[in-house]
Amino acid sequence: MSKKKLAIKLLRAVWFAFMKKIIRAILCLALFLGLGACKSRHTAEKSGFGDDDQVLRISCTEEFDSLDPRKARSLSTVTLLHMLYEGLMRLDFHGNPAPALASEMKVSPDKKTYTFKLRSSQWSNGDPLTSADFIRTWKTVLDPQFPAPNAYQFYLIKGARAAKEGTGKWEDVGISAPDSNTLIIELNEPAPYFPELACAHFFYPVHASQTAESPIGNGPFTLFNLQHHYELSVKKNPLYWDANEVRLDGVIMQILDEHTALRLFENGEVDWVGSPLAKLPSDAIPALKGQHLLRTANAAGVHWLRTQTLSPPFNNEKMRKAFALAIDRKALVELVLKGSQKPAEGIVPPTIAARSHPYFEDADIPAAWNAFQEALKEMDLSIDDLPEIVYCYPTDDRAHKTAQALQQQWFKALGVTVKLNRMEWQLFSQTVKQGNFQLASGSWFADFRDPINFLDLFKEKGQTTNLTGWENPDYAALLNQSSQESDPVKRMELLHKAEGILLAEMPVIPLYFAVYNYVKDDNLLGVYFSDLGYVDFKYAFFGD
Amino acid sequence: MVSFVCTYLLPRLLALWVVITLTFVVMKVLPGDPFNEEQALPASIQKALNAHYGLDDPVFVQYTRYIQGIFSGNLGPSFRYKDLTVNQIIQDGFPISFLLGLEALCIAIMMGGAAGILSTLYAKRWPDLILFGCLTLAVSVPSFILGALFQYVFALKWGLFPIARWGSFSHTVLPALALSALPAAFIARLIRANLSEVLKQDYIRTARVKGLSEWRVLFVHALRNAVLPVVTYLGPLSANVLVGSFVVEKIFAIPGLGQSFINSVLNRDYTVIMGTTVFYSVVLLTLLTLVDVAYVCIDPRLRRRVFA
Repeated sequence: MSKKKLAIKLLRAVWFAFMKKIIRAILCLALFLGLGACKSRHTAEKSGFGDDDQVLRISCTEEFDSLDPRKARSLSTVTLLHMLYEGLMRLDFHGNPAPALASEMKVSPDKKTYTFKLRSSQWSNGDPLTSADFIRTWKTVLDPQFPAPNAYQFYLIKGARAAKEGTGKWEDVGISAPDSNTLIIELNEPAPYFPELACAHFFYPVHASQTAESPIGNGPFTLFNLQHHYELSVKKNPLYWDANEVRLDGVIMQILDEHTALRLFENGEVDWVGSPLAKLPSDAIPALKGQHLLRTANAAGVHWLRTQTLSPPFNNEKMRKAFALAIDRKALVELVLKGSQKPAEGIVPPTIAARSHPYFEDADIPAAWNAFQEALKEMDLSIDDLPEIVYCYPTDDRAHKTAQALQQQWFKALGVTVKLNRMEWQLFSQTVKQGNFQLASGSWFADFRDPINFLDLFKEKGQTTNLTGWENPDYAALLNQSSQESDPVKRMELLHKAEGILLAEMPVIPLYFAVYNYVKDDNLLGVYFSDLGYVDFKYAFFGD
Repeated sequence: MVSFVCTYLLPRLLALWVVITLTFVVMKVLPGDPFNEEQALPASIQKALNAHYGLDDPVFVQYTRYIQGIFSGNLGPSFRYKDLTVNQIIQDGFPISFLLGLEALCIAIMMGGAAGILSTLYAKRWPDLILFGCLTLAVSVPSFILGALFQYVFALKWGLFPIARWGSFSHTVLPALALSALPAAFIARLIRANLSEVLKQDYIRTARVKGLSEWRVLFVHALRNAVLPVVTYLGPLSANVLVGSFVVEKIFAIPGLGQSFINSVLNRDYTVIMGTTVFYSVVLLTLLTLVDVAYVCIDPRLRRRVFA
């Protein structure tokens, strides 16, 4: 028998033997999966919602870390919590704190006592929401045993720090409820940003019988469907006190790979890709910009370099200055990052700073060179004796590009070759924490909109946010003084002075102010994109 | 049967214990912790979190707690996803990865088997050369490139299948194909190498001389011997494919277990690292035992030895 004939015979035999089984297997599989393939594409996309419903589909990178506002920490979860919950105040469309659950807010003359009157409102299961719900929630947050990562945001309330650290009692905390619709909060110091803080997710109330599977909310939307690591959808909450203002019927958040998400967007299967729930792939940004699809929102965040100020060469202030002035931030932002970031010549982002004047000049090469020579003289070194300088950064595409650009800029301006050390994120973080670095990349994004949020990070050496080993008594004194100042204008002046000290001594070298890049459906309107890194879809709708 | 238990099961249980212990040691030696983040938490809060999750206990206490958890079937809460337990992560993810893996495995065995037999029959002629080219490609192109390519061509350009996500049979086709390419190529090469070797042996010649049909010679006599290495390979391969692939699940947005393996390590989500590793080891060791059983069924010589 020739081999050709044999092959045909063989194939036929294999075909018949397997076909029966295959057909049966495929049928079973199809039946098992509910014949989903036959569904029309449209309903498959808006799983669970009607065809005419206004449903928004967003991509997100990661599973939400918790639906409980007390436990949540990741920035992407904050957007979700703003859908499911409502606090005493809520940032309105222009970003100003506006009454929400509290119908009115009274401030005492010394600006240390806030009295909130609650409006009558309901939980999504119909239970009435009273001041007791707030008290109970906040008591658990300040319980030393309860895992609440954001509990430190309560520390400006009288006695809160002591209660959380176990040295004080809950009864001494300055939170009280004289009746079921009044809340009184006493602060340690006049903090003008407290109303803003009261909008944040860590001050949200939580229902008494809250469980992870069925969270009971009080926000514009309620949980509709949850498939972990795949999809989370919310639908309009008819019991929300301001339900008439909510126009979307639902929001579906899909966990997608960033490249896949862009492909789905291209195909019209997703309406929003990118910040704040996901990242746009950095290699796709120039192309999206070229197609005029890329949108940019300002972020209250700054990317900087930490210097280790306890050991040479960056124990020398002029050396830090030299490296800071040698950086061409404009080139970095426009030619390397290309995401419309803003060069940073200060620490406090322009969306927060009352006054935005530069504290130094960008790419001031002659000044950098002078500072470098003086530093060498002070340290009694020649350029050849300079110890090897290493710049550490995590394995992130953008950090890598930034590092390469900085390396080149420093070499051009100062003739110093900085060694680049790219590290796995956790290792990087640990290295920086232990102070085993000379230059390290870093960033800070505001929790609330006030310069103190940035300046406080470097108040003391031992703070987990400082890590530079730098401290300055004048700086700390100015910050203390500002916290006791009840006149907002004078307070801002003090904070400016403090920022001046920080930038004169440069334990951190600012690089650029962050932005949020995203693409969205043109018809989606009414979205409030906060510079704090979340999006509020309360007023969102699809227009024509 | 007693000897079967002694020679196969006991060493495997011992291996499982070694895996658990090694994973625990390596995990603890790794720098970082689950509550590490860019926006550093104040020290007092870090401390409270560590205390709540028992991370401030002595290492030995933590170790015995993990072991107890594994034996009682309670793998603990996830540190990263505070609403989830490790059991839940495995329960949610594994069925999906299993279904997808099964499909990929079927494709791999069928395509790899057919390609292997065809290229043996046409050895060194053009069908063999074409197949060889395809197999080399399938081995050397990583699955994430293959996945992205399939996504672009079959889904975005031609619209034959959904781009990504999960829910219906058509969603499984592209990821299963991407997942099956490498094992299919490997199986084909194994079969080709062994079959051509077996076909040269004396007993095949005897069978032919006795006048058996070529069909019977190949499928009943030759393939049975040639398939043994494939069975060996199928054990670890199935374990790999059935518990999910990080890359393919990520590209196609499939909520399987594969992603938990990588993400848990990146997040230092200790309980999830332990849970997924132990789960994977159990699946692997079970499949290896099944392979041994299959060997005994296929090879009569082994049967005699085991049941003697």
